[in-house]
Amino acid sequence: MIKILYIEDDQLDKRNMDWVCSNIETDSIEVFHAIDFKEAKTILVQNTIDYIITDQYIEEKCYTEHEEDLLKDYPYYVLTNSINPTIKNQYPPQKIFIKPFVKKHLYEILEYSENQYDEISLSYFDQFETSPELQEKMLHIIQEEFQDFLFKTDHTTLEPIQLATLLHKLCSKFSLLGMEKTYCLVKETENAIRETDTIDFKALSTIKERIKNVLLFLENNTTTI
Amino acid sequence: MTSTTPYILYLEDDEIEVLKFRLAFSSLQSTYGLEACQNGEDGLLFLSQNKHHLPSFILLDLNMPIMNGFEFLEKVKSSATYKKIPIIIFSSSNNQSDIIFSYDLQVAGYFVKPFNPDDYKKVIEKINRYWEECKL
Repeated sequence: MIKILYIEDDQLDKRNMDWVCSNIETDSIEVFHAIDFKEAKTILVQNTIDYIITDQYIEEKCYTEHEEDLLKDYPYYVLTNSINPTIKNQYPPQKIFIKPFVKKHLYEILEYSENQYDEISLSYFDQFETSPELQEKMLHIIQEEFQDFLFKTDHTTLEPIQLATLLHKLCSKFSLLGMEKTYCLVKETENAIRETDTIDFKALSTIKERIKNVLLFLENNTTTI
Repeated sequence: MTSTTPYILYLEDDEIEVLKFRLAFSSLQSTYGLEACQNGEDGLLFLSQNKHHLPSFILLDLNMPIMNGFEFLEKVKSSATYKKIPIIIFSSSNNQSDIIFSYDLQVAGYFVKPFNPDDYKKVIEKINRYWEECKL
């Protein structure tokens, strides 16, 4: 669980932050809201916070004019509307993000590199004007097969060739979800097993992690599954 | 599909692949109908039940349970009734030995399933158009 303190007095920005943090596929995040630095101080005393994100202007004053010391012990980020904000302070932020706060910013904060992250997309369905019923059916199949894969790899001892067969069946699902990096990783892992008859457990662990991300994504992004 | 409509038989055990194919195929306005079977054994059964209205061509996945694509190919190519049906491999495998072995078994083409939906649709479109214009 990652804990983020967000100092912001605008209701819309607060709602946006909640949405972004609850729709991340990888980690669960708890967001603590503070409308000013006084409230922030109380939250920091009572909780173990991993990151602070603050709006550049709180109560119409630049955050540097508030209690700057409050930020010195935490990695913190500033959100601004300005393209070239001038921020002079003793403890500079890790980074300044231009509003609105989006997933990409969150991944940067959580230090996901481009290579680690493989975005899940449902645009395949739009491309072929898929009916909601069929889309739901297909996502449901993916969900079941992914759960089955996790169960089999967690609870049974698979021969390398059995694992290769299971991996083979994952490709179409990652393709449908637009996850090209994972798709390639699955193919490479399957091919390596077929050629060497050995399992690359590191690759398998990454694939399982991505599957868990998809399952979390599907839970957050579908209503009836 | 009426009993005279030309059609494609798609052998594929992965339900998502079949649904993906149907989605892309339905956007083509093809003159072909589409039938699907889950493995080689089902495919052979289907052919035996439709001897008087065989598919115009067969799209074949290789990695299937019960009877895989190669086993199906061997059976079909050794049958006087079915051996003239063009068979096109549609597989996620780009393994060179699979490709060579498929042509050894007289396939009419080998296509690797593309990742990207645009490319996927293009491949299906090409296959469809080629066989629509072929004299069979």
